[in-house]
Amino acid sequence: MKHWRNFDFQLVALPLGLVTFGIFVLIAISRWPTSGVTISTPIHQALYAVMGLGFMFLLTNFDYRLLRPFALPLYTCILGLLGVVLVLGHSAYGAQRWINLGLLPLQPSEPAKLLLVIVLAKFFSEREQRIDRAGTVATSLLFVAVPVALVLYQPDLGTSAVFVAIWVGMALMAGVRLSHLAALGAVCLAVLPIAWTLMGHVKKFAYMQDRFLIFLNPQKDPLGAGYNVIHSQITVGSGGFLGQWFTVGTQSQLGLLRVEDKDFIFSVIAEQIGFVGVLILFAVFVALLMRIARVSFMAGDSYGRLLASGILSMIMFQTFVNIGMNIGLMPVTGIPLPLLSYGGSSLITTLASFGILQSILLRHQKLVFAVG
Amino acid sequence: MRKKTKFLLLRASVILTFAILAGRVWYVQVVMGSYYKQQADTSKIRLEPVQALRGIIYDRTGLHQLVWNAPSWNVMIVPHGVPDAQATAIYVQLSALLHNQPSAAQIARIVQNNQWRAYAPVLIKRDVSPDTAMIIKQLHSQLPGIRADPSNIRQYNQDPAFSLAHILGYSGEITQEEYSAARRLYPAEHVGATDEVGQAGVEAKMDPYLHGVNGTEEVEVDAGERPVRVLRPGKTIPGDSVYLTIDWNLQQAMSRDLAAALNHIGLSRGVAVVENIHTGEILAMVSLPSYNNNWFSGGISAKRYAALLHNPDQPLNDLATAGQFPPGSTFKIITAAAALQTHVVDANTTIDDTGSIRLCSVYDPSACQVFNGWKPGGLGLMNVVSALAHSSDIYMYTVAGGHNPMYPGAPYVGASRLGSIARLFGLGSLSGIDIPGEMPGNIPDPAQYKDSWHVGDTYNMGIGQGFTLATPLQMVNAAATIANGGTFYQPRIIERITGSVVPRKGVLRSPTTIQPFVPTIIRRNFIDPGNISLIQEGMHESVDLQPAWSGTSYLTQDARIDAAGKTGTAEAPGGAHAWWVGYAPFNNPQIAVTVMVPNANSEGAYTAAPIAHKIFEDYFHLKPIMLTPGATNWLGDVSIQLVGAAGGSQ
Repeated sequence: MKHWRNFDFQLVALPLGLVTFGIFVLIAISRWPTSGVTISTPIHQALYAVMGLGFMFLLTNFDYRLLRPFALPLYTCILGLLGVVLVLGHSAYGAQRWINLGLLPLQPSEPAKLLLVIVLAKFFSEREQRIDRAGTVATSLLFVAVPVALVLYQPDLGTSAVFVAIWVGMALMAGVRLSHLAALGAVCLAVLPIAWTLMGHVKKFAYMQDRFLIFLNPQKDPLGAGYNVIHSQITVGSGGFLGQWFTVGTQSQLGLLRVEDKDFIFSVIAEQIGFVGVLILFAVFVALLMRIARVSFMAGDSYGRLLASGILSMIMFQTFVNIGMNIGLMPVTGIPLPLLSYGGSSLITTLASFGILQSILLRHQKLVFAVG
Repeated sequence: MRKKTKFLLLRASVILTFAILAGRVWYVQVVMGSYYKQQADTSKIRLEPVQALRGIIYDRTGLHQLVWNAPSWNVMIVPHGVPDAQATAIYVQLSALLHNQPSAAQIARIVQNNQWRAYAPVLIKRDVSPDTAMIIKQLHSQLPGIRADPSNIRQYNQDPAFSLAHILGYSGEITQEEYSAARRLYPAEHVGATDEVGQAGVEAKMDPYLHGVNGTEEVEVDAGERPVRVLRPGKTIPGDSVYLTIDWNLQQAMSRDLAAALNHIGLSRGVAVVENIHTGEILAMVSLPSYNNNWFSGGISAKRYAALLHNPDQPLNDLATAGQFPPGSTFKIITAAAALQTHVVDANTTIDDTGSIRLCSVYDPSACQVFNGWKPGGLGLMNVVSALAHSSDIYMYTVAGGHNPMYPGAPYVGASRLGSIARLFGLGSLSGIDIPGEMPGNIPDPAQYKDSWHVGDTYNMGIGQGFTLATPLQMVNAAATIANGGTFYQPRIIERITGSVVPRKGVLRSPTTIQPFVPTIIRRNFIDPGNISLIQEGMHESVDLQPAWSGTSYLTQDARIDAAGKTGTAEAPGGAHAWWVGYAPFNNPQIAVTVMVPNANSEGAYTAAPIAHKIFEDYFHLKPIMLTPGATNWLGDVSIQLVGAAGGSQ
């Protein structure tokens, strides 16, 4: 059933290239005296990459269709873990997101993203005939509502937006009526002002408001919450057209950026490689996402097609929001830059999803019939 | 929608997404690039590390600070703040202000080596006078890039003989290797590139506790990189307080007495250690000569350091923990314990000390070697107690190696069992005391020597000669083990640690006792209590045998103290080492004492024992008295005949 000639080497080479580049940048950061990053960061990242490759390999060999029965139980488990995080997670930068598992601090919201893709792919592919009904749309929303609620409570606005983005992308691919989506959007718009007012009254959610207001006007609190918004743009901007290429005395070496190994790694990269380099980096991302889109096109069944497009939405949305916040296009949220940001859960999940894509390619039946 | 249309839309959305991002990056990097670059260049906000105050080291009472921090001024340079055109002139002017220490060329080299972190202040000179600091501050317009920063410097409490230097060690600026190692363990805010860290002694060993957690302050700097305004002060967490087991009063008294005694006999080297026998706490530990560790604070001058290194007496060496010497007859305590424990002898077994043993080859009866005891005519019939009291070599040879022609076929301990029991007493291995650089000594393993190990080697081992080496710390542990009835405690120099920094774990909300003192038993009951009390009795008689002054330790005989002990005169190139190892009081032991004078060229009985007596007087707060009637100096007027190389020792 497997057809190795369908194996897409680009789907391995492109992510690996990005991961390697990311580790190189992390090593450079760890050598700067003012940074809070130690050499153990790139070492761990390399370890996570190896673990991620392991998952990628396993899932390549595993028939993606056989994932279906596991999807819902696993998804339930991971949602349970998300609940656990709320109770005993480690807090980082004001939000409880981590469970400590020794070497790997597990951030359950990362695998939850991928599992949501699998669950939704199963759900939509089984209801292809009833996809135009409002009831189907409403039921599918339930799968998203639970993690969104849990993650929002952490509180982690960015990650909940990723869940919503995955749903929107997959719903569109599954053929949900645009009128249904439009109605949903309208409801959200109507609820937003009310939610905004309520948020201001709950201390836990006030930080989200802060972040959004500061995104609109960073100078309001230049040494506090606006700090990263200002410094990330100065850092990116001082890269100029050609970049600084890891020379001495660059802006990122001043250590003024925080979480430069995770949320703001793009600022460091952009200062070093400049606009030309950023264009090349974007070209790599585009090539990668195109390969994923190709999987969606090649997939032999609607389940595979939906899986691929869900993974595409997941990676593309996160990339957009993360880079966007580095260049003042998006509010600051804790969303990692896929394959480049330091973080085991995110890296392993992303690499694992490439295994699923490969599995879809190896088993798409259309060609089998065409040849045989 | 058709599948193909969807796919096209999908691809279009990818392109669109990155087009938006690229457009914005174009705006930020290219359109606004020079604006942001200028912002970056004129950004005068700097994050600067603030070193936490190092922890204080106290003596066991907590009443005496042994190390503290004194305010001082450091001259720093920020490479980025020095204009290239004026650099040489600035270095020359600065060097002149610092009295050419360092020279302008050296400053230039320091700057060159730190160009890779051009914004970080680099240390040029530690601990300059307040006057120099003020001049540098006033000349700020002429000296861009140069700063005088307030700092702290370690101050070490010392007695005139600097007896604490080996224990406390010293601290100094972090080396590149130490910094790299620390950066692997801790994020940047914990350890800075110019931090002061422990380099020797407790300062080094306890550095993770003493160091504290650095802070980062956000400062606005002027064009010359000098701070003009603190935007956000750095929050530092001071290092933990470390309490030593040392009793500062006893340490000073012991140091004074040891120095006086050595001065009297015209020697410069000597060691004394006092241990609490119930806990393993080291109450006082002196190794002379020592050095002034305050010289190391702020960087020792090359001249002083060379003088210390080339001093033939090696003042940087800690003889107490790192000096390895043949223990001589003090080892007979171990030999006796081994003989009793292996049932080679019991309390009633007697051996006739005839003054020598003639050991002949089994193959060639004419090839013989004579092993002498210290007393040429012999000591007569000896049991284990009197053998210790009189330090009978013949008894120890016989029980250790057998083959005494007078007792053919009698059982003996043998080198391998003797070695095993010596190791149970902690000899031949590191005690694990919290002072870096400890040495293990040596207990020979006959198996390693195969056929070249002879009965004579076992004889020598039985009297602590030959290949056997021990540190004074190991011998005081052995004495403490005998004194407390057979429990070998881990010797400790750290009493307790209080504060809020838990190394590699984090910082506690409020200061507390991080590491309380808990005596650690390494092993116990490895010698039967009955056997221990026989050895105690032998050591007691060594001091207190009647008629007065007939035991070898008689120079410690003092009814007010009632000590028990064992002398040792260990043959060594450069003159015999004089040892005394013991404890007091005999009936209710409290402390064990070891005194060792290397190359005293005299017997333990005459050199080491009287010093031990002085230490007991210090500990029990007794009025000093003369011991031997008519004795006016440490050696007394007894002339001693040292026996030959194969001879025994007292």
